[in-house]
Amino acid sequence: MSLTMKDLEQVLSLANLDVEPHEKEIYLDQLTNILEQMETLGKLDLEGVKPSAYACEHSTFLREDIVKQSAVSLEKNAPEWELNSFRVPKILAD
Amino acid sequence: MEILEKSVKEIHGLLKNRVLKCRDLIIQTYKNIEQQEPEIQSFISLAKEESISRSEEIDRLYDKGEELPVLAGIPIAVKDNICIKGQKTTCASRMLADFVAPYDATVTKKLTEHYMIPVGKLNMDEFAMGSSTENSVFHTTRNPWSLDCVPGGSSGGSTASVAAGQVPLSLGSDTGGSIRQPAAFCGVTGFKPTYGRVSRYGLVAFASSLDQIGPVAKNVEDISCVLNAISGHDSMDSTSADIAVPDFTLCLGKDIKGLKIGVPAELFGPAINSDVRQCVINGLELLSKEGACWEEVNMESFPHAIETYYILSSAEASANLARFDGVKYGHRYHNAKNIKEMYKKTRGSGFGSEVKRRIILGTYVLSAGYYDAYYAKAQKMRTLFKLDFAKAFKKYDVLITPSSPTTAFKIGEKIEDPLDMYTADIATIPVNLAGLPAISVPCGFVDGLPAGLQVIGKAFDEETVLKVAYKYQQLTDFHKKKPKLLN
Amino acid sequence: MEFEPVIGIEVHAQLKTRTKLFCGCSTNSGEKRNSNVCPVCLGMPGALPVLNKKAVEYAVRAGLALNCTVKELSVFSRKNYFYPDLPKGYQISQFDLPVCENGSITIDVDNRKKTIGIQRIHMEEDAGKLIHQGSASIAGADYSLVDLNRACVPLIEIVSEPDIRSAREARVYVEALKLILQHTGVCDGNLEEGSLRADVNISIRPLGQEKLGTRAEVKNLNSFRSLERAATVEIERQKALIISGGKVVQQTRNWDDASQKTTALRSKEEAHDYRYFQEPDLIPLRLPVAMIREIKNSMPELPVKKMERYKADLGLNDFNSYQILVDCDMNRYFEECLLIKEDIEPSEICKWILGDLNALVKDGNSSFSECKVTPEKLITLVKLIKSGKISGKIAKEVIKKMYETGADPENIVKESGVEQISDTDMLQAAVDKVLAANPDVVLKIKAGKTNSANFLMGQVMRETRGQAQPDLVRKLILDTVNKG
Repeated sequence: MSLTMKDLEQVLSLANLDVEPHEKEIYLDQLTNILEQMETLGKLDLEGVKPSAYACEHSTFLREDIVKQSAVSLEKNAPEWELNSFRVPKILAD
Repeated sequence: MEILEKSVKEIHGLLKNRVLKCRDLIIQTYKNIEQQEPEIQSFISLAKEESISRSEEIDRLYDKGEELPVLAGIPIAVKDNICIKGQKTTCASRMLADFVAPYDATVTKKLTEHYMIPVGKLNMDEFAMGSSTENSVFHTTRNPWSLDCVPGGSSGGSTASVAAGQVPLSLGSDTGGSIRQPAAFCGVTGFKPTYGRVSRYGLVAFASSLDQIGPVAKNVEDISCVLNAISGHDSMDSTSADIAVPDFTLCLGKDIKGLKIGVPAELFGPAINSDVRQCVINGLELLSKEGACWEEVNMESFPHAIETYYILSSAEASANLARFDGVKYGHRYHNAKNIKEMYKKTRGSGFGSEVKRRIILGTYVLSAGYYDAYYAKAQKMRTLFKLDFAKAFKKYDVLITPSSPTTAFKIGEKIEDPLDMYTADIATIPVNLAGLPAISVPCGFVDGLPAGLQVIGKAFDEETVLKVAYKYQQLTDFHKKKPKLLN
Repeated sequence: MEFEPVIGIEVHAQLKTRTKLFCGCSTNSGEKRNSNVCPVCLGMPGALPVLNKKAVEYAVRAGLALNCTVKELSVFSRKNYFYPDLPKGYQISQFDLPVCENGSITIDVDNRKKTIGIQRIHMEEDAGKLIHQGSASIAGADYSLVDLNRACVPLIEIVSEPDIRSAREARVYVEALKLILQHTGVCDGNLEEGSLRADVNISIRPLGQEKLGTRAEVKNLNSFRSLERAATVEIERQKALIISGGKVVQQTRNWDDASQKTTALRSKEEAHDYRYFQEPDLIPLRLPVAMIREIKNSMPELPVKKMERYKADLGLNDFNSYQILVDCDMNRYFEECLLIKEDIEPSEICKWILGDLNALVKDGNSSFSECKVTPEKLITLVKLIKSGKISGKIAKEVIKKMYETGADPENIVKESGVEQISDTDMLQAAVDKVLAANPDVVLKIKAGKTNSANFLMGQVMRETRGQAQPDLVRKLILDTVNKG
């Protein structure tokens, strides 16, 4: 399973990352090497092994349904702030 | 300078008896920081004014004769991925270069509860991704033992600042070794608690199932004091464990007769620098003279640490870093014609190259058609790491390994070769995959650069790890050695 | 060729918790924009989700009410996609291990019973709200504003099996769901305000064919009417398409109430790849059997059971049993009346609630929960009628005044002097006067035409300005005539 430029571009689009064309070549090269090493896992027989998603699973902690208001100032960090809202450019492309 | 070389308990004694004013302690701390900073560059930002006014408040409390915690008035520096309300939390990224945290991390609250003084925010690899602190958008921190070497990473600022005597204590975060590997490189003591021991609330996430906050100090005793302050269940973090927190200083000084040490063969092979290996073996021999016994153990999962770790951590990171989209806070590319362009250009220009590489890798291994081949396999592999540890801990009380396969490498040496860089973490990664506690203590020098010895314990058995490491520091003086610094 | 529609419905129901799914912010999103937000629901760096216990209880309650298996272990995942109303860049949702599975409900479609399977119920967080500027819709907008008050509000998604076979069934199914969710207190079930949202997946296939056709998903259904109508229109569209040789494309279609049409939403630039994986910030949800049992034991009465009780124990007819149930507020009111009714007939209370009081509440654009005619006052009114103090006709006037002023019926009756006259002596005088003035009618009655007494009754009522008690008047007239 080697990474093609098309795969890379698909991933860049999914992850919303703009990358210069010459950088793409470098990434493709580096990621191909990395994935090659990753593929050593592919050769292992892991049939019947349960996957772990967590370091350790202690009991579930549930929060009581009690309102706790916290005043956060949003405006200071917001790139664009208008009418008490975050302003974003148009959602549909022309 | 001298005052900061004392232990936490000693400084506390001086403050309590009013031989030392907290204000003077803090002024001296900033003097040290400013003196070393041009060369070491451990910090991203300082909070001098707030800290001095805080120190005056604490002096008033001491003057009144109030019974204050042992850490009261002690300066501490904090890795710049931990939120302190009203202060910048940049994660050493252009993305958050101007981000002012609107809330306190739980550990920050705990530091405040113990009257500690957070004097500044420390440099790191961008979003904690890296092993050298070269991936900071601001500057590269240098190793106090050799200025052309890296301090390790990602918590390079946390370890360099303690090694350079700028601060007595610091906090770092450890996802795959980010406290222990730089602690080894800088000749200081660094501890990663059990996953769930310390709340992650307010720690900017890299890989949520692996991240853990931990202390860096000059010795094990100081580590234990900080650990006492920051541990415990937090109702803001579902993954924090509701398990009683012991007094971690009580286990110190206990003997280690009959202690059984496992030594993973996989971390004593050719991948490990032979001099580093020798330092660790010397350490094992010292411990066996105290009545501990050790033997080799095979940890068959270990050779797959890098693959497993980079797949899992990058996958989680790809989602954790999706929130940096230019909408609510942080960097934004302006003048975009539409939202897609805004996202792509914001993220393209806001993240550095290592972060982008990991996002790409993480996105790829989770995407349709590749999930089973990479992500699902790595999750299964993670189980094997846990099983290997579980088996080993049936027989042994602790495992001991080198903290890193080498001593500090040169700045720029590995930056072009990510895979080579990743191998710096082979000894520390397995611990995070299993969520275990582990410490790195200085165990000797190779060509003038410090080497680190790692003690790994069972989940929530920090005490045994600390006990062994403390005993080791009683038997050695590597942790007392200081780099030759400017001035 | 004859076609058969195959319909599956995804219903999103907002849970009636006070706080959001993963943080302590209020779920009230009507307030100032971005006012009910905190680091967690804003997706601030370093913030972590903590699951709301009540939301879990409600999800389990919904599952039990819909005959699902409640899973002792369920898992939250991250659904990854970028959209400005999604602050973290992923939605926390249950994916392969939802909290409830394999349920069903039986619906009554025009007197025919039909069971619809429930595939699953899972918990998830809602997204924020976008306000498009420069145009009413997203398409023409110059830019948009993001309000995150609604972000992280708890939802359950109820996914039906594709068991529905007509637009009518689709409507009845969602109506039945709504009723169950309302009566279990899980959701307020308001389609218009969006606390209940239904997306309808429709495909058609030649009758008798096993294989399913390509489906289209219809969204933006803001009332039961539009739901039924949209399904009908979409079925017809697909039929026409196939008959004319075309093919149904898998897509999301938007229902437009004004044009009564479904139109394809602009297809996304790229195919979705949500890259689901287990949410590492939330440990898998383990529900102790005892907790599930406790939720089961504290379940409010389900509408089906309630209806049976109304019919069997209270003697209400089918129509009234359903009507008194369908509006939750009204039903709560009715139940409160039942608690204090003493010897009043439930059907009598039901009549007043469904009739006069409901009309007043509707006209006043109000609701039963804020109605000034409290259950106690309504019961008092019905008692006044029963004891003969006022007539039913007068009562209609009294309840109007009660609704407007909130006054006690007894006071209204006293103050306006409309109390019924049941004093025999007083009435006898009026009867004597009327009989004396109408000897011819008296003769008719004597001849056995007792119906003629009605005329005399009317006269007596006029004499007493309607306040006479009719039964008593009638008795007095007949007695007097017979004596004489």
